[in-house]
Amino acid sequence: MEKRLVDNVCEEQVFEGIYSKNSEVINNYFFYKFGHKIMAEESVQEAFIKLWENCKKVPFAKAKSYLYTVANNISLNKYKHQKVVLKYAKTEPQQTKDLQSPEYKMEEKEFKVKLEKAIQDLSEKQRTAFLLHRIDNRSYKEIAEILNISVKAVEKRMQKALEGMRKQIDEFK
Amino acid sequence: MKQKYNLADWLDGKVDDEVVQNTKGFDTLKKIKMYSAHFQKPEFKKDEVYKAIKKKKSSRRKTKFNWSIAASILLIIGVSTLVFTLSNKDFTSKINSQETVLLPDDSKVILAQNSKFQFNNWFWSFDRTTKLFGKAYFDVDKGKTFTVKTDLGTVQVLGTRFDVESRDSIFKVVCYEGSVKVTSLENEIILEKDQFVVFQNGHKVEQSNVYIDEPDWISTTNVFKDAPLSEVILQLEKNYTIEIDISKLNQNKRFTGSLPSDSLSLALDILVKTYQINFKVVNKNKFIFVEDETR
Repeated sequence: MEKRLVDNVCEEQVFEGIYSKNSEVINNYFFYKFGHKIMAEESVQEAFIKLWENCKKVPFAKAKSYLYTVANNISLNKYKHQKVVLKYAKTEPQQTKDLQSPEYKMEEKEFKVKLEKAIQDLSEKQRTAFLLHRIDNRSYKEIAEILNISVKAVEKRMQKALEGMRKQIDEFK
Repeated sequence: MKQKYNLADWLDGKVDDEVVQNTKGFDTLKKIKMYSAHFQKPEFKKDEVYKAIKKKKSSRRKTKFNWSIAASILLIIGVSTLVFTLSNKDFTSKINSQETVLLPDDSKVILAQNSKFQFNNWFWSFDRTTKLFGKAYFDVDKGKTFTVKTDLGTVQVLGTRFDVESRDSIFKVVCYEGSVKVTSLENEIILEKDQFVVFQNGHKVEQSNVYIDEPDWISTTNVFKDAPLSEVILQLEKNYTIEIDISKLNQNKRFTGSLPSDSLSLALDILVKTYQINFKVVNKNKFIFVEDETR
């Protein structure tokens, strides 16, 4: 299908479309970065209002990368970040029965706590990349786009994040 | 064969467990991979945030819109204030002499010593508002409401003769003809012919009658001290509403003395005798001075 030639970002519908597609990942990115829900939402607002104010200058195709650039700039000069507190999903994936022993459950619980701590202790760069992949299921390519870095750099961050967390968890055994 | 970011590839599902199973702490890595996928997405109130954006969007639009209006209003105010100030005329009488001011509609104001008077030349036909600091006698032609504002009160008239004094805390108005409205703070008084009122600090202290036809402070002489002849002639022209041509005279003459303001022939006679000059009468209102060559 041929795309409409003039997809004007200033159009309410177009703007809303961009919002519904991109707002969540931008919000999560801010959340992984700051660890603060309200700050994340405020930053989302700020980013989209910047887009709106410049809607005449930003072509539709560039809107997404414009948002990411704005988002990165916002995070540069704002907020001291807090610890990122995450929640585990209540419905856990199915596990075989023999693994459900109380002992196993204890261990699992312990591990989850350790993992959370390890994530909190990651550097901001590694954490945002790691969580965008694990929680938002973004591909390395998409993460590279969001963070404005190369795919290679994303891979490096993932590698370092894994190695770092593994080390911390095992050392606290 | 060493892959640099093999763990990253493994986490992304590009390579199988076998490729990296010899990595130190592989069990832990596996657990990390598994449990990190169990996290909930952070809570995000998408619609609420969008509503907030919409609100800010429209309010920013509005402020931008308002700026242009505000700017044009400011510009209009600025320009009109400038015009207004530029067309304001100020007159200040010296501490020892009176000054006569003719207004655009031929109303006459005689400023007493040490007084200040201001009116707007350009807007005169729309608004006959004047400002006074000190004391003055007004002979107002009929027309729109004529207003005299002072620090201590306001006088409003249509066409009449009256006298206003506003100095220190005393505010005094005398009406010689017609009627005037005097406002001082919250007090409002209508003065009829031959009445006067005095306020002190905004309170009425006296209201009574006068029995003279013109204020007695208006002097019947103009006093000059080493004044250039042109200034003397100008004062005469104003006093008697006449025209005097002095282009044929030596302009270096200076005058010290007093001239009457109620007798033109006497005033002219004094000048003629002082400078040994003569004058020709062109008509009732126009005179030409010439050097007297007979002497």
